[in-house]
Amino acid sequence: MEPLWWRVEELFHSALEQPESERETWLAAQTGADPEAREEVRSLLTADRRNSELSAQAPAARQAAVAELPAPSRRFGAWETGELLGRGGMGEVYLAQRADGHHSQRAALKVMTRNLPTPDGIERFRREREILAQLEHPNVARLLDGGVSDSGEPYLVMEYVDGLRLDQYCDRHRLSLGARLRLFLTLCGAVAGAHRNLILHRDIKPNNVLVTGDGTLKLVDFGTARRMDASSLETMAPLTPSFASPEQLRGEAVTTVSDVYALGMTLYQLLSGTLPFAGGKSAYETVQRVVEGAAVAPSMAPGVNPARRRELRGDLDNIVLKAIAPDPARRYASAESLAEDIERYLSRLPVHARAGKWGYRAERFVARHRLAVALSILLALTVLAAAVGLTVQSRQARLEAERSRRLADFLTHVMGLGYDRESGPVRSDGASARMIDVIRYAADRLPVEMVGQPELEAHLRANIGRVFEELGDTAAAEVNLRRGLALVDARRNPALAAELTDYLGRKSELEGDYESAARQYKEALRLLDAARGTVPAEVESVLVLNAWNEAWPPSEGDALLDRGTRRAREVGETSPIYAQVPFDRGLLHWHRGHPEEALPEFRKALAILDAIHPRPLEECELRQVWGQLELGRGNLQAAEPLMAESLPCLERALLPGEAHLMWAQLAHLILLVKQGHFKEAAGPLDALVAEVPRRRPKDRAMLASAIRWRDKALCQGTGACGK
Amino acid sequence: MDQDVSTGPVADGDVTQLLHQWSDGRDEAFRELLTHAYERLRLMAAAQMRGERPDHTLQATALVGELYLRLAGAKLAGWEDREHFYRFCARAMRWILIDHARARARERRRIELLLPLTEDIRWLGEREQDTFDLDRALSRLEQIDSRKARILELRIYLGCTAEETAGILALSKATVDRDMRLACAWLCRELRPGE
Repeated sequence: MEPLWWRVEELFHSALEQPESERETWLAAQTGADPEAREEVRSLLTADRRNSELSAQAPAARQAAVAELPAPSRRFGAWETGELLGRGGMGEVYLAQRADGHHSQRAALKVMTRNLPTPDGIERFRREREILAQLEHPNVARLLDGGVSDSGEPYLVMEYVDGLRLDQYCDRHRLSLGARLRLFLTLCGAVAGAHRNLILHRDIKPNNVLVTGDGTLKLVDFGTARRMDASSLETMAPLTPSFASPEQLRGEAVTTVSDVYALGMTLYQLLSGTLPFAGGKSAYETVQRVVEGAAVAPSMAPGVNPARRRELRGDLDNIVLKAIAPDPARRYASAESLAEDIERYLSRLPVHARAGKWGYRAERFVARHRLAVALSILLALTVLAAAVGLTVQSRQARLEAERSRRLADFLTHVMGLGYDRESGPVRSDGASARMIDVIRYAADRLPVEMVGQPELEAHLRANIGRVFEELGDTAAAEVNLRRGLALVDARRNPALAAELTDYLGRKSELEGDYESAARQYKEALRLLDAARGTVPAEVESVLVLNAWNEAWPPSEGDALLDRGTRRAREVGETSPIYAQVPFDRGLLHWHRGHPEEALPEFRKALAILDAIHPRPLEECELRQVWGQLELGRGNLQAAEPLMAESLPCLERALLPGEAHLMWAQLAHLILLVKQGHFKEAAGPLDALVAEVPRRRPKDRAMLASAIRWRDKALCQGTGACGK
Repeated sequence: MDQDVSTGPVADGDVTQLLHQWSDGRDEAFRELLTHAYERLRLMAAAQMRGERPDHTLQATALVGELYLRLAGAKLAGWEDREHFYRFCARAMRWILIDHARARARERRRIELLLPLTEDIRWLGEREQDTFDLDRALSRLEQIDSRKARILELRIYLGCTAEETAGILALSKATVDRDMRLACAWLCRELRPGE
């Protein structure tokens, strides 16, 4: 039986009053009937003496280094421990492996220390095990096993996550803003999963988020997790001040929005590299800022470079600041709503909206009934060429060259491969497959037909290449465009070189390789400038508008757009080339956050295209892009009809794998997910994820987007995010 | 080890007055109170840093900053008297240390106890585990004899002298001394059993 503490205390002090030599006997006499008391007091007296000794030695002893002893391997159930990974609040964490050696799975084994665990500690341990057992999420470190060791120590075995901290991972891999945001979305998903299981993490911060080598994010250390319906909420649990919400610090009730706050702080750090209350002249000042909630917007944080600052200003600033609002009522209500706003932001990035560059193509498609004519002309050309025997050396060379040029022009004209509007815009919706055959045939015959006419060939190659890329065969496009460039002397004919280079840029853009596209466009514009004065309006306007996109820095981009507008106006305001102008202006408004100003521009563009019969493919593309923009902003009502109308005609006209078509297909599935039809969308999204790398290997943006939405659909459709 | 931290910029009697003023709704009184606590800790931290090894881990301002963070919410908790306030400070300090130690353990760096401890238990903090063991031991002591636990907490984490501790807890100095003797022996038994 435990001796009464008060008795022990009394005895202790009284014993100390006895002379040292007599202490033991005195004690024995006092505790005759109570051996436990005697033992207790004796041990305390010994400790008292030791205390004095140690204290006396201490100053010298403090100088000695404390060695880190290696932990011997220990057995816990089916597991054997190895290296010590760290010490947590409740115990130590070791690397562990299965003792039977059959599975080489590595795990993290968390055990109560050998010191006698308090009842409180055991209870917390048991609770953590219970909590973790219920949580099964791809982005949460899983509980593998647990129990009590032979020596009576409770332990947990968890998935070992070998990875970098979230912020370290992002910095090490130099991730772009978009990539960081997408990783962060995964974290939101994990937290949302926990919340769905009524579990609060309460200590979310980059230290607790690890990313493995293959880019998988895992939320770890639910050591401070608590169930939301717990009757007694611990108010002063240990936590990290920098990431803890004001209400947690004050010891008030902690809810899901406290986790949201921590998510917001984590995001802040990911985007700007610092924390919002940093930069005070002293910790005192810093702390005051926290208390007063005077956060600095991420874009204005110290150390943020100007390019990043531009990216953060506006929407992202607002998202982060809302997440870390001091007043819980003003934050996002859930991890999901925070994620939604970020997704909305991401889909506004001008990735899939780099569409609708159709100034060229407006005249390009040949009506079904024209095909026969075109083929016959080709044939005629062949015959003619053979008959005339084109060589530059011939005395008639100039005349013959002239004739063959005219023939080539005629061919181009008839097949709709030139800019000349007088050929009459005739196009078809269902002829693309055959169109591709014609174009391939023409491309094959070119070296033969155009022998001795490199510039002609180059000119034709440019046109053919353009058609290939718009239909979706970017490989063939590249072959033709590069062959064309090889035939052109950029110094003597910069305009043609500009055209070919510009179309190469467009090819890269369609493949999703935006870096190469930007380079190629810049080069094309340079060449165009070298050819000043000699470039017709139809050519220059198309090239310039091709090169423009919403990602240009405003000063250069606006100048480009103005230039394109001016020259397109010279072509004519009812020309499909000119339709590009209001469309681009609309995209610019949208990108800058004024969708309401974009809509009238889109309608203007549509009006121009509507006046062309039959309906051009560009009109479908415009509707689709517009629909996708509305989708990105969450206006599902507006998005659905636009997208539904345009998808079929894209499917008819374009080759599988073509950029606009695949974006449209993906967007359609995203719409389904946003409408809540998860099961319906999950399968097709999964198929799309497999198809994208096959058809569009350079398009990382599309792949990332497809994966994200597939995971979302699967997670929500099957409830696999949490039981 | 320096114990000259008893004289802070604000005398203890003033603290009580400040507390009263504060509960009457005068915010500036609160600020002054916290400034006082801040100063106290800063002095203690500075005392510890004097003559320490070059690889000391104490970042005084950071530590103090964190305490202020926690204290800043104190207003809402409804402070009633000095004892409550100081005990809250000590408790907060305790948690801050655990937090720091845990962070360092995770980074696999050596943990060092960061605060000056009383003359009576100078050996405390020599071992890496001391930060955690002390915390656990104090929790246990709380169950056995809460008064001693509070005394230890005030003296270890806030560096209060025997006199100050007596004043805060409304005890006589003699009682505090007596309690300390047993408490330290108990603590030594818990944390240094084998020697």
